[in-house]
Amino acid sequence: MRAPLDNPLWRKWSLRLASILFLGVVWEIMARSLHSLLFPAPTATLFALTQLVVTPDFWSAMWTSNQSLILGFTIAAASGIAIGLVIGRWRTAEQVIDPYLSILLATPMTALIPVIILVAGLGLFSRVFIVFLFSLVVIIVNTRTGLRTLDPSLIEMAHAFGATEWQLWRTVLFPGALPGVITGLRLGLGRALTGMVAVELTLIAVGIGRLILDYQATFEAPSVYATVLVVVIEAVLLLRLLRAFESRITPWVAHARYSYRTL
Amino acid sequence: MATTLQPRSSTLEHAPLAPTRETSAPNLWARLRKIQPTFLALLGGIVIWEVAGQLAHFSFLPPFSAVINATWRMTLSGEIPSNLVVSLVALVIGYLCAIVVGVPLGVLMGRYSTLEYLIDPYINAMLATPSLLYVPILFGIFGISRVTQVAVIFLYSVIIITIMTMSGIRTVEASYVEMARAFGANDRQMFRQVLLPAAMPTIIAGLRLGMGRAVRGMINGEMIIVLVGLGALLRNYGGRFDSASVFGILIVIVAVAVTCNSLLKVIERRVTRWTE
Repeated sequence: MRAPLDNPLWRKWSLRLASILFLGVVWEIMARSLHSLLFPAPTATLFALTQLVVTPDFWSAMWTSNQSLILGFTIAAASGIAIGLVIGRWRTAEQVIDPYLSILLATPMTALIPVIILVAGLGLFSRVFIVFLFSLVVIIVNTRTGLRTLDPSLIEMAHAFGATEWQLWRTVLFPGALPGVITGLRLGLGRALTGMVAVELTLIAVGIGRLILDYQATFEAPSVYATVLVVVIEAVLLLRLLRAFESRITPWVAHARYSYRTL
Repeated sequence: MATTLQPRSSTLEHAPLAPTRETSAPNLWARLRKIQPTFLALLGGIVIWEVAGQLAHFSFLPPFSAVINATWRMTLSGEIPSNLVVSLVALVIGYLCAIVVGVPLGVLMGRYSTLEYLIDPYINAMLATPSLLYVPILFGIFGISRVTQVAVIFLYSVIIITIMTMSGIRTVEASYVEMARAFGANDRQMFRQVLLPAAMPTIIAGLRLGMGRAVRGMINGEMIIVLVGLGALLRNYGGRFDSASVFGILIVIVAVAVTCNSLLKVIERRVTRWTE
């Protein structure tokens, strides 16, 4: 009979748990000894978290923030996939748009926020537009890559069987590009979350960003950390959801160990 | 008699067996012709920008000439150069720290799965969260100082460098490792002669991604902690809704990002030359 420590799954999870507990203890000790106003202990943070979820103010802030996230991301997904497919299929379109894509990829979108506010004001539209901008480019680029890495012999075979353009798209191009599209959506979701938070932390103080700023201003560090923790939990949950969705739609794709940028 | 003999090497000249210096590096003219469509597309965009800006008089879309003017003005007044230097110093320090921490950590994590499982939960959490959230936290710990900005850049780039390094080490061909073991390699020899060279392409790719993230972190951090640097300049002009200056600074930032990326590409090509 094998000792429990030999079982790889047991080992993996016990190491992870031990690591988290260890960090928690170290953090707690450090925070207690430092007595800094701005470095709360994990216990204080968790307590602040429980306080946070019962205040209605928090939930209305979450709703405000997530409105822009949902709207911005869906619009970016729809248009990004469409543009990416067009670019991937037709070379001339790609040659024209590619330099702008490279520039947009390199531009920190946070820098464009003041300009967008100047144009569109301080309302929901600006926030949606900013989330849209943050996530659009990675979706386009990954969709294009997904289409590009399709085996060209598949397309040749489809042509040999006399497929029309629409049939080509339906049977070869769409399914083949799907893994790339999902990767793009995953990366785009991360960027959309960044956009949601960025605009609220810098210029339009509503929602979660306003909460963080308020707590920072009143030096309530546990609540600052608790709010950040909420956003982290939301991000992890959303990405896991996307992962599950991905497994169902493209079961033939092997999972990378960590979901990082594959550009 | 000797003059009628054709040198045998003439046939070899037309089909060199090994790539010579001239054939392996594409010559300048060929490269210029390849980037022609890119150049034209950009030129077209600039023209449209100028025309639209002049005709439409949108307050948010100044004509390209106004942007160039604003950039020139800021360069002359020293605003751009001084802030650029400050930003770049923070970028270099933060990025180098990320490499110094990330690469060894990634190598060890790739080799010893125990270490990987220990650090795994933090990496997953940090990958999922919007990196922007590190800024309020670091701000709380270090206050308004340059240390915070360097720390932001460090955190932005260290994760991707660690992950790519770890991935590179783990995906080294098993046959190389087995062969080294068969020849009796100890751990140190394994690292130096098998694992590191084989993982180098992936590691360098991670360094490139890390550089992109570092530039992003530089700007985001400076925009939120408005102290010095290009991000702070951006925030100030943005606050005054001076969009010509904002676009000018953006051009400088994009130029910085593209330059850093090209630099890394050159380094990548030199280090991974043996794989060609």
